[in-house]
Amino acid sequence: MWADKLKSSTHIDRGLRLIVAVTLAIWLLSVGMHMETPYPEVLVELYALPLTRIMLLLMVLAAATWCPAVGILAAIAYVCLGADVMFFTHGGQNLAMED
Amino acid sequence: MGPSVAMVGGAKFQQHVLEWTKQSNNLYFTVSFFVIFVWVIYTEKLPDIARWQMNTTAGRLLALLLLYIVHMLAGWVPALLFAIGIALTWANQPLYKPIGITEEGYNDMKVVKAGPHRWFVEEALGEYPTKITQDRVTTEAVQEESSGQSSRTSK
Repeated sequence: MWADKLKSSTHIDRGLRLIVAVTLAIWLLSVGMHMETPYPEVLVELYALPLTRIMLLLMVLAAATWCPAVGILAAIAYVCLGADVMFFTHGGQNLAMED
Repeated sequence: MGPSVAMVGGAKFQQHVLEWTKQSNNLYFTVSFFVIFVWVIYTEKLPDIARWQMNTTAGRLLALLLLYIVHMLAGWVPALLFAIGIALTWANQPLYKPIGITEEGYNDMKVVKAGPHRWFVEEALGEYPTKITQDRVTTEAVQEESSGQSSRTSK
């Protein structure tokens, strides 16, 4: 089971996985509890750059290779960020115009 | 795999390349991985019609089937990447069904070569037109799309 991969042979690795997983879970909770997520302005501006997206995606893949649980949480965080930013920069504008 | 044959120069490298491609589908997986990666990076650049089709029932089922195939063939990390791509594509569904590119008006404007004589205004302003665009165009009134009752525009 992928969740078992949080268990590791060394204490340091296990602790690091737990810390990153909990951090990502808190981030996802904070994002999910807002109707309009107040992302940091810098993050939204940086997301427009392809290089930023590439780096974020590489980090997600690296996290997935390191620990499946962390990888899944990071992937969900990436999707939330991408969907929100793209909606409010493309679709949201159209929706506002129609209303 | 047979025993390795001692070769020199480029033949040895060629053998390595052949072995690499024969042993597995690494090349295809690498190319596919790169394509999926680019798709995830530029999800919003996909054409509207493609994003709309991926959000239909058939498109969603096909995407999930492809996700299963990717997972079976390439492992779970490429499958995770593919899942991110699907999720972002679904999240960026166009709000309304794309109806194709509509032609704008003023398509029948003719351009003719300017005559030798200039108008007074052109002489006064120092203009030397080479071509003249016809100012008579055919336009059509805005048509209502619904075939039902027509609504009143005034009382």
